[in-house]
Amino acid sequence: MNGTLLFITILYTVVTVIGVGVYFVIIASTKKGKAEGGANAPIEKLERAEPMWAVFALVVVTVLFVATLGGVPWNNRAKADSTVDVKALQFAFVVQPATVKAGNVDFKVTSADVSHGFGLFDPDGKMVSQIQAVPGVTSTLSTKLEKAGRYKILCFEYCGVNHAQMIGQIEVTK
Amino acid sequence: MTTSHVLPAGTLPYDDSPRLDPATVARTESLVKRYWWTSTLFLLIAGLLGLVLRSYQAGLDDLPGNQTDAANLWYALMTAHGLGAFVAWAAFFLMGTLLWLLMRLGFPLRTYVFAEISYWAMVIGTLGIVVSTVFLGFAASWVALYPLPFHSAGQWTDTATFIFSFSVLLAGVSIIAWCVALIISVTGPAISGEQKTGWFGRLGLALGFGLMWPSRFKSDRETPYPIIPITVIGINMFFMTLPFALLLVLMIVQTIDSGFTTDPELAKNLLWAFGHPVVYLLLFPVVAALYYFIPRYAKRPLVFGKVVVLAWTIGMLANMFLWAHHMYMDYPDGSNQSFLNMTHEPITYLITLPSALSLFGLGATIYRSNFEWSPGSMFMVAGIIGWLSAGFQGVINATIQFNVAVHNTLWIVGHFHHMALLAMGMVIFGVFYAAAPTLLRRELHSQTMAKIHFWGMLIGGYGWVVCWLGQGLDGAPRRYDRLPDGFGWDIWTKLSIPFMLILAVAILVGIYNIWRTATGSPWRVKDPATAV
Ligand SMILES: [Cu+2]
Ligand SMILES: [Cu+2]
Repeated sequence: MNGTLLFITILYTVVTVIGVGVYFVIIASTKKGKAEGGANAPIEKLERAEPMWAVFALVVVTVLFVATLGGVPWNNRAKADSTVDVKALQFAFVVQPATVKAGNVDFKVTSADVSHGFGLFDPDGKMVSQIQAVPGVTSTLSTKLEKAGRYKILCFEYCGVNHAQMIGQIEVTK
Repeated sequence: MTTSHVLPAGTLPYDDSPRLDPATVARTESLVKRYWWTSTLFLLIAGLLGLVLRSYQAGLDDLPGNQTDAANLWYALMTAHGLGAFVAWAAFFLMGTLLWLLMRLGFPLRTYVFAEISYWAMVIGTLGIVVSTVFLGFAASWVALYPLPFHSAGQWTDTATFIFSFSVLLAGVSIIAWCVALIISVTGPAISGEQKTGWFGRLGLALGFGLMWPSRFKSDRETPYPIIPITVIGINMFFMTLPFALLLVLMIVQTIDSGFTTDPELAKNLLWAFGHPVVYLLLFPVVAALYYFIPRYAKRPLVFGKVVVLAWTIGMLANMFLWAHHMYMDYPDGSNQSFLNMTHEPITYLITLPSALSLFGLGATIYRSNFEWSPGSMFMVAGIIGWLSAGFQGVINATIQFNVAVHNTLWIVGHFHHMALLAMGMVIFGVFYAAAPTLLRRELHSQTMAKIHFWGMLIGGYGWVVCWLGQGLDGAPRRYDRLPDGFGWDIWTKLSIPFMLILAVAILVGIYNIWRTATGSPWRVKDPATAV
């Protein structure tokens, strides 16, 4: 699991436990509600809280938007130490050069036929990054490759019958 | 049994539906039942395909032919399963259900023509999809992935692409005809009563503007909250089905004239302009159903203010400009797509507003109420929790930085099964349990079976979905007939199988219960809403 995926796992688990926990409290409260005939619920208070809740939701997504701007791939490119051309086609990746030195590597990805996906996995099998390979045009994926070894390229967009067998590779040296 | 004017226990609790004309009720009910039974049949077929797909991934079953034939059949079944489960079952069931809800709320169909067109277009379209995929091998997935339909690697012909495109177009016609039926119904005289209001004024009332600006939007009757999401989805799908319909027409032209091609990125934008809103073709009707039933179970009106009305208007507008969040990983050098992606991220965040406020208001309505717990309400509350927990995944997917890590992984597959089955599907079954006694005039066949259905779906469903989520977080890509060795991904697939079987048995028990209920002996009593 790479860093972003680990972060997502933790974030999602925490937020979901809180949210579902609140709903369990609501469900449990109906036991008391039944005993009281539903007479003692703080309805006006909850109704007044609606605008505050809307503001809270907006603040959360705004914070999320600003905090993750730095992770938008096309806005954040380091100067490349080397460049690799990748041509995807049904059902293979043509990678040139086949070996590259560790560092900031730009992949220039294109497709000769249909849409493919360029999904890069490090020698430990962890996902590094991905980009769509669009037919007829070039797309640039900037990566920082630190580990030496054999990286695998998995096709990350369904492209036909042998999509699952479409695996390429690139060698990274120190 | 004697004739009485009050329905027995088990019917819709605390119904305050307006007095209805018995002929209208009878006609709407027979139409809605047709939607219900046909869509349930499609669920059986689509569910069976799903079982075959996941078992094949786990290496438990084989498909006929050599490895290539088997793989193409797998992808063809995947194409059929997606459209079948999502559109031909869930959307179709809810489309029918909304016609019933509208009637109960005092907005019966003003013409049955569009509802009939919608029904038949969906049935014929679904059959065409089955023919083109299962029998003719069309396997480009439901999103078509243009230009893949025309690069089949020898697996299917242009004829298959033609039949597929035409059939999906029919499903689009079905959706648009249904939207027209909805809009005609909610903008009828019932929305404003004796007040003189123009068509746009009545549309405003249907969007709940009368709750915000009562002096500007006048009516004798407060707009019932469920009418708001119904109107929103009617407007949204009327417009957002059109771009996909255009793409399908372009594909049909290409099957006839192979020199005629479309730009792949344009095609993808056209597809997703429909592909995101169509999720709300399930969610918004589900929300309408919750707005209708939850206050009846809680025995009090919905705890809502005015902000929720505003949130729905924002949601309706946002829904038409957020599709590029499915294309975050498309940013070719020098193209404008990255700009579009960047603008659609905050717009996508905005659409969390109607969800956030609905989850708040529904929770507030249930809180410390004298809530009636029954199969219907249990399924619905479980659906609300599913909506909440799957909704958070949606926010993660909508965030570009996170999307890099999860795009096209099995996390996404986990997300939409979670949303479609454990949120919206739960509410669909809840609607059945809540509405069946009233609609079918029969008592539920078995409470025990309903409980087995509930707990089986909950335990099986969450176990099954968590395996996909975990697999995706481990980096496993989606749409692989079989995952490659050496990544340790197969363990998740195998783990999911027992949960999937529990889920399948639970749903079968549920459908059997529904069928036995429908074929049981009817009550010889009148619905209070129609009794004069
Ligand atoms: Cu591929
Ligand atoms: Cu979307």
